[in-house]
Amino acid sequence: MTRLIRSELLKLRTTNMWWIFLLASLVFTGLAVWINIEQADQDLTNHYDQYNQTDGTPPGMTEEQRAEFEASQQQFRQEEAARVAKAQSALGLAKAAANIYTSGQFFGLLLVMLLAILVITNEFYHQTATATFLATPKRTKVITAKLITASLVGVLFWVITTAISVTVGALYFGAKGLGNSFGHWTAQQALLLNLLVYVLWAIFGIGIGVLLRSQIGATITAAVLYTAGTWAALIVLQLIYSLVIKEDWVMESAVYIPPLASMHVVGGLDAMIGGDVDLPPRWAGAVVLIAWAVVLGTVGTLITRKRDIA
Amino acid sequence: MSNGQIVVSDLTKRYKNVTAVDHLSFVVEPGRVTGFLGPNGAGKTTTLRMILNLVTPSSGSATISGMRYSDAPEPLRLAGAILEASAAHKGRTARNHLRIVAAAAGIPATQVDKMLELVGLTPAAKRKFRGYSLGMKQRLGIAQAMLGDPQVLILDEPANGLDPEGIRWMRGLLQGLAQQGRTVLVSSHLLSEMEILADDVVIIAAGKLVTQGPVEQIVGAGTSAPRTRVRTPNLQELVTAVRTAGATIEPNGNDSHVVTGLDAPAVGRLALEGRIELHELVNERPDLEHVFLELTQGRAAIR
Ligand SMILES: Nc1ncnc2c1ncn2[C@@H]1O[C@H](COP(=O)(O)OP(=O)(O)O)[C@@H](O)[C@H]1O
Ligand SMILES: [Mg+2]
Repeated sequence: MTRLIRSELLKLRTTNMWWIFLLASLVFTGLAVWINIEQADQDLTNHYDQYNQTDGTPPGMTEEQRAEFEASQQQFRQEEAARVAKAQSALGLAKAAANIYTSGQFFGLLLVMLLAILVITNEFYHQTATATFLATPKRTKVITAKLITASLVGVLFWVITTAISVTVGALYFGAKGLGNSFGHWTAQQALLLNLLVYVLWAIFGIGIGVLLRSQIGATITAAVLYTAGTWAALIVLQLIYSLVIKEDWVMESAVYIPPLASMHVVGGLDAMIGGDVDLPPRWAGAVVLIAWAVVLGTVGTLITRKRDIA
Repeated sequence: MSNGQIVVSDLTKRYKNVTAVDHLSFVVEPGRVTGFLGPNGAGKTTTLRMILNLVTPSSGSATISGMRYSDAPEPLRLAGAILEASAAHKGRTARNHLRIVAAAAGIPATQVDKMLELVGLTPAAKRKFRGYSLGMKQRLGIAQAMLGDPQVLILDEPANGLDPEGIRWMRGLLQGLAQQGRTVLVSSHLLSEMEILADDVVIIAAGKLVTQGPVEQIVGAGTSAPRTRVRTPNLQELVTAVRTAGATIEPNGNDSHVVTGLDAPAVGRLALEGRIELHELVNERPDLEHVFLELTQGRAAIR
């Protein structure tokens, strides 16, 4: 098996594909870290303090208006204090850290999936499947090697994106004088589950590649479903929820859509769906993804074993 | 069990609309070049791919040296193949392509460079496959097939697209390999090439075996009566003499004629006796082309 994995890694290294994907991943991660830090900064900053450095009220107000204004200011101050206290609590910071440290997940997963799809479809597109299966006629071994190789790619992308977002994130927290939450389970868990998710998406890619052998067909279908399909599904759920069935399970079912399950696993889905729905626990997202990976991996292996290479 | 025999037994492949290979059985012996002949669509490619476990048979089996290809502990040492679709990733160099195959088969990288040298691709080894000519691609295919120093070589239409120089090179290479005791199975729909190259032939049409055996034997068995080509200014006399002798004569274009039923010495004797002037007297050697057309007549249709 090590032979085959070495061969598969060599296949990846000997074309231009990998560094294009790597470059894309760096760009997307950089952007995502920046956006996530901006957002965290909004959450962690006390806006009352920010905008009311100088005391005093605007001139030219009646006594009544002044009282009203001060009451509202007072309320704003209290709300901000409470909100910021919550955001800056250990748990609040850990949640913010989890979000920043898993930056770039959405596009990272897409890239890993596409790369894994290419691991399969390249063999058919360039007709190298013949050479591959002549060297190793036991096809289960070949597909296993591809699953492992794609998983290694997933790990690599996780390492790179995580290195960037954790470094930049920790610098930000440091600059703010806030803890970086490295020791907090919420942040640690997000990082580890993110690793799991990267590996699972690599496996999805292999399965999709086998199912939709056509290079262009498979990559475009997967990319469109992943991006537009996810948003469309979310919008449909939102519409059903607000117009037809006003029950929580409608929004909760978002967890069964793989890209959303992936966000949920690292805690990013609550924010997207909006606060008042109680989503299933995070591990449920992981279970959903593992189930998808098992199904796609198994189907991919079975099809590869039977397929005629002509 | 490294005898190098290829044994095809009762091999059948049914596709939705066509039985590509139909209860086909034959044996290919080591130390000889065997031509696998048949018109386009006869099922040659499908058969070769079934022998190599790339296509799953509907029924029947094929073995190389007594084992199925998929059971070989070292497949590339058992058999090397160049199939029609032999190809590499367009953006990859020839050397890297071979390194990938070698890595999967546990063959050392030094062997890659040796094979590139063997086929004369060393100067182009680090160029991308995209820029390769057809001849270079075929050479790379041979290098790939030879990577594992296999006992058996299987080639699907290797002469396709090669220039005469390339064909001569390929012929020398394959005959040399057979002389080393290896089994060489080469498919082709071009007969002229096979007649020079092959020791044995297996002829199929419409997925079924037509005949198999040594080339001389097949060629000899194909025509029952000897044929002789003649040219004469005294045609009328010759026709009479030939007919009297119980043979037939027909025009053959170019103002020559072919006598069927008499060999050249017999026709010469007739002419001498009848004082008939001859300008040409040639034994028409029955060639594989004729035999092939005779044997596969009406079955070459597109299926
Ligand atoms: N994958 C396939 N699906 C359906 N029909 C096929 C397939 N491959 C080959 N055939 C058919 O099987 C027959 C034999 O094809 P092939 O083995 O390629 O013949 P040859 O190599 O002798 O030209 C042809 O009629 C061809 O159309
Ligand atoms: Mg063919």
